[in-house]
Amino acid sequence: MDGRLLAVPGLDKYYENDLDIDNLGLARAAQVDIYRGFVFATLDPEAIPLVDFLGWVGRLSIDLVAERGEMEVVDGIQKNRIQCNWKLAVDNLFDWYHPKVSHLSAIRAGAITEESLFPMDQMVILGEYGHGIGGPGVSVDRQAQMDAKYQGPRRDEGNRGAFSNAWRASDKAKEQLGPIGIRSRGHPNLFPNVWVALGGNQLCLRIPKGPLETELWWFTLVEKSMSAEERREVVQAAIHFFGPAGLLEQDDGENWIHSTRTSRGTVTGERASNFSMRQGHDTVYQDGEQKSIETVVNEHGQLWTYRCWEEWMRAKDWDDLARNHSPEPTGKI
Amino acid sequence: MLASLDTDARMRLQFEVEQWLYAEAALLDERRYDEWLGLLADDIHYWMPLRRTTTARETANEFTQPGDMAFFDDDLAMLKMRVQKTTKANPWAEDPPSRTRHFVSNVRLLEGTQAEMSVASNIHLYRTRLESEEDSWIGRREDVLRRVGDEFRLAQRHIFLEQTLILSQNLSSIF
Repeated sequence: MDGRLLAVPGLDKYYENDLDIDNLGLARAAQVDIYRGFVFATLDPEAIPLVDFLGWVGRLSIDLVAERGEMEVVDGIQKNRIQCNWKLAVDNLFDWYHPKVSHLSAIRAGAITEESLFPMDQMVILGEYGHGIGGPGVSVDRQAQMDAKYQGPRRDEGNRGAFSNAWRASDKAKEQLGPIGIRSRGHPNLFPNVWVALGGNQLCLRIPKGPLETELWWFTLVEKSMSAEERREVVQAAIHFFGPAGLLEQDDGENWIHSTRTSRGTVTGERASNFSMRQGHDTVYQDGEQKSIETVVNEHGQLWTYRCWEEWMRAKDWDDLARNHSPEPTGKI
Repeated sequence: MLASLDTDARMRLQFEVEQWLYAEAALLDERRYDEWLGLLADDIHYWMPLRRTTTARETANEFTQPGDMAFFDDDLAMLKMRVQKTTKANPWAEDPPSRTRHFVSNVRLLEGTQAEMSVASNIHLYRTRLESEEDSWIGRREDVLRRVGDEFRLAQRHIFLEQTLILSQNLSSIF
């Protein structure tokens, strides 16, 4: 099972043994690597190593899942197809401006509170090669208060709800996630198209099927140590918020389709989209090796994604990309 | 037991169940969702598992099991929330409202008693939205109808679609 071509029916009779069998096997994954149980493969032998591609922001994105505990995938991957460009779906995960408009109906129906969908304290983390985390963050003081509160029973002593952040109180989590990562409650996007959602309990792949069509694949993860009730809490939230019947995502798809359609208009297609919110009004904060932008609702994550995407598309080869991609922003942004 | 009914009684029951299912579908197509909620039992389980393409040998694993991932896994409170969202909260997905048509056929009384019985039916739900959007979902339903006084209440609706990859941007209709 290593992909070599082992036998060809009729090799002598039809091919007269004139076939280069050694060179007709399957294309091999040129590089395979694993980070905390997540397996990455590329068919490109020239691609940069996984550790370089991920950088600290890509690794943090995965740590925000893996550090919760030993995780397992719930049976069943929701899949549906949307007539939108995949980048609009990625753009949307960084965007905490749309919830009050797109998801007003879910708030009105009582599915979710306005406060949880429109938090004022936002933290953006931008990484080389396009990785990014955007969404709510908590202050150093708030994290310290939570740590004090959670110096109590662990999950296995049956005192933690499924979405509790108590796991962040451990020294191990603090060391792994770092002083900024431990305070992030946002949405990571593993560049280009893996959204870490629902507090690390879901992954959504946005798979392009051409420029006008995207397939969404939802994976749901639970900690092996969860009680039956906690597991049910995660699965119910996953089904009721996300996926095609989810009370939040029902309306997102509708809007992405119409945004895609509108962008193809003769006039609208020539007009630039506006991503100016907070541009030039924020400063990158540094704590140890980690950097963040701590602000209100903003468009830093979206703009970073598009900028890095353009760099990937323009690069002549991996060497060009490695030498000429944008470094992590610092200073005024 | 249903199996012990004579042909005449069975035909009467079949007629009664079919007419109930048609009337229920009409409420949905006429957007009379509050009246539809009135047909549901307090303990209803409304569930649509995921389906996946498998080899012939693995068809026992085609559908996910209760408790695992699904498209719908709702109790009465959740269904009320869905109706509330559709009818009173102006959701982008349903305002302007979808136009739907439910076709219910192949109705079979499976098992149970005159008081509570399981009923299989085939469903074709057609939806069109805005000017030109069209969706079509075909599947099998397994309902449980319970007699309360001289009416039926829907105590279970399990929906098994033929699509594995859902070809629509959302599932914002009731099946």
